[in-house]
Amino acid sequence: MRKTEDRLFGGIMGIFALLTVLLLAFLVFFIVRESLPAIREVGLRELLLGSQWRPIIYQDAPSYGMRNMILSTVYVAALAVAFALVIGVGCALFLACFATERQRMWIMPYIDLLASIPSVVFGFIGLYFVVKFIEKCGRAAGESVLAGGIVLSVMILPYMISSCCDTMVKAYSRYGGSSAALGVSKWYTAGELVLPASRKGILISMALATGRAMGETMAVMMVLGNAIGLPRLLGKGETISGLIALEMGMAEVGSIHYSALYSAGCFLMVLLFAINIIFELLKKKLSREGSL
Amino acid sequence: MNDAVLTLENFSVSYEKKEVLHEISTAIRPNRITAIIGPSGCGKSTLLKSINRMLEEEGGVSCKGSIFLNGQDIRKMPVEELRRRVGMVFQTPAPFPMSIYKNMTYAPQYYGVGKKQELDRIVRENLEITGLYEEVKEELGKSALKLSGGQQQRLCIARALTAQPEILLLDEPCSALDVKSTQIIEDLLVQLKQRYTIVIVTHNLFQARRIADDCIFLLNGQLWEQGNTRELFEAPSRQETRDYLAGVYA
Amino acid sequence: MKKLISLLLVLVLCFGLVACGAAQSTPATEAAPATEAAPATEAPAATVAPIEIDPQIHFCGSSSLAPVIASIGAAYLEEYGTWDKVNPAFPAEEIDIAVTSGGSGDGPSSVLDGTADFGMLARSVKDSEKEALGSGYTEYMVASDALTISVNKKNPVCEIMDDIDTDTIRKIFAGEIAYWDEIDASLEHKEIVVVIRDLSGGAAEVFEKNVMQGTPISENAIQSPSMGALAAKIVENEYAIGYAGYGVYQKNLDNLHAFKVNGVEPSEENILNGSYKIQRPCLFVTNRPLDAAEEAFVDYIFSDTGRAIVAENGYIPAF
Repeated sequence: MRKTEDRLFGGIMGIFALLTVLLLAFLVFFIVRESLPAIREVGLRELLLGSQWRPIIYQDAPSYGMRNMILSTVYVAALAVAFALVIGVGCALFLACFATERQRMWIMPYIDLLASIPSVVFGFIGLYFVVKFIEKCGRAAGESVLAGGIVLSVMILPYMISSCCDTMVKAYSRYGGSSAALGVSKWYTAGELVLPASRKGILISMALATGRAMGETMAVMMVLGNAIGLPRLLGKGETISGLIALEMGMAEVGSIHYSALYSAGCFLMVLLFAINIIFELLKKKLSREGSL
Repeated sequence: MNDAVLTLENFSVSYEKKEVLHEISTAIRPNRITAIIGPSGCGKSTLLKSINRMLEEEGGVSCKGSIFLNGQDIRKMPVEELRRRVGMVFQTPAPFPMSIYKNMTYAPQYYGVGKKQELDRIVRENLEITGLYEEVKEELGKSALKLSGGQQQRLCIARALTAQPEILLLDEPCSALDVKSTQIIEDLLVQLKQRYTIVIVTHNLFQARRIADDCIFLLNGQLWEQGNTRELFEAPSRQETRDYLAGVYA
Repeated sequence: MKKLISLLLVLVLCFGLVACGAAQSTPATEAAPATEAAPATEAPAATVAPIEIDPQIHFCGSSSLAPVIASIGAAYLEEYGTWDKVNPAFPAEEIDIAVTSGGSGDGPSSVLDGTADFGMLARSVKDSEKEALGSGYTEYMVASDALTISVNKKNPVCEIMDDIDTDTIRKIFAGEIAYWDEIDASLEHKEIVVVIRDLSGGAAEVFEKNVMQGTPISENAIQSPSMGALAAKIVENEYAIGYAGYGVYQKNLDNLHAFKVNGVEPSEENILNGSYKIQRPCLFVTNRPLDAAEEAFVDYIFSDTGRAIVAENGYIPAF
């Protein structure tokens, strides 16, 4: 009885798992298929490196270069991850080494709650505080890569903190005693022992955060200005996901424009995939060194 | 008693409301190995952790009475200074997840040793004392986690010595090790007592008998009997000690 | 045992889904006999021959026109409820006006591939699109929408300038004039924040045709995902200028200032008589003859009620 039950259950779960994989494969296939006309017509090189995105009218012919969007995406995500890394690791270190178990139990749910706020809310907050603040500082328009980076960093902070904190709590409970017994201060333990011991955990949280940062659309679109020029820190920019969200509704189905938007999605996918592979390799290397 | 390094006076410890150590008074003499023995749950580890105030790290603990280190009340000392002077090695070897070299320079760097030469010397000397130097000198950059269990524990002892303590506390340091590693560490401890005062908690009576000069027998949180190891083992003055040594509580 | 329970739960869930699907489809099958029954009881006196119709009418396309058609549809449903109230010869099925909002480009293409009955556009129909739709092509002009050249009312430029010429607009939007003091020396040396709709939308095309005429728009221009967002941006930012649609401009009269263009004010009259140039038609198209229900609804759009709703949405009725 037990055996057949198990087998039946396993079989059904297997089918569901297979369906998920098939769905993913279908999705990838669909995106690639839809982006092929643009790649064939415009050329991969021009799509990736071209500096002008003028899908409808540009002098004589439309132009589909998305270099600036790719750069914007990387720029904003890198900025956000950098901000979130500093703040998130600091927070996690504090929670793991200085806060008591009780305090952690109180604080963590609030941090997790932050993760469940819809992104459009972050966009609004960004628009009314970050963008306004940059305008107060003298810029005519506050929409900028910097604003995008700040808003996005707040959005990915909860992931950063909770994933780093888990690792650091583990590291602290394993080594904190030995370290304290050597007569060193908690600060020293946190900075010189817990932090380096958690490198792998931090890296994993960075990979997660980068993935989310690159795919995030709404909030970033609201504060980035969606300008097609070369992104600068205080200048405007437009991410790949923003581009797709803005123009997908307007693009004529089956046109090169439509296909170029799919290829933008395709590039984003490849970009994320590449970044994940890099993180994975780094993680393997750290594992060999015994990092948590 | 005047030459004692460590003196406990009516020292009691309670977890929340429950008393786990009751009015312990004893003196630990320098350059000797003192073993704390007793059935499990008698408060051996608690007593050990009281000496370097590691007990404070656990919540809900209250202490009464005093402990003096060379006549100084340990509760009036900065906890970091106390712990530098009283080193500790734990039951399970816990080398830090970094290179052997970095494990050894972790504490000295905190105490302000910055020169490479000086650090190299500290690493070499302390590894030599524990006999580990010859085994690992070619691979000081290797992760300490790659060492065997016995080597890891010796590294932890060497690491504890880098803080230049006066007293070394060991909490069942061999319970996770094989016979051969145990023997190496026992020999090491006997050798170390020329320079340090050693207090070891052990549940292994043979070990206590082999290496300890003095013994403290704890039972139900009370100091039941103490004295010279040989005398205590051969002619215990109390019935309970005799029972314990005979294996009644095991 | 736990596994067995969860397995059962999964199965129940699956059945539940199937059941729901079935439940949804039942009204349609049940409705059929009801429609036959209805004329049977009422018909004898009236002697109306039943007319076959498709109870659902589907519009797809321009996001500018979509809310207008959707509110007309809602009013229609409220007024009649079921088709037989519109015309006793129609079956007693519920009126269903579906509106899908996308871009102007989606309008003709959705008609072409049959996903929609009507395609909505907020620009004139391209020759290529007319050709593709074939001989059955018909267009229904609903309204005109103009693009106003608007700035924030707090901007001191409002007091200095009332009129702007096409050439200056072009230079501002192309980024050639980048600072306010380049327009008038008395203004602050602050960047002009240009706000536009996304580069591929209907508004962008109209602006291109009437103003830019081949000059690329500044790479630094902020693209807004909707007209509402565009207007909000100008209301928020004193240094902004943008082509707010006539509708959103009307809704933000307190905060926005629209320039005359080449001396012509963007008023309803000037837009209708064509003297205000930056404007676009809002229309819908189809590629086949209408059935009776569609005809009834189209008539309703062009009725006084429809006209009021178009105006309410900030557009200028073209009928």
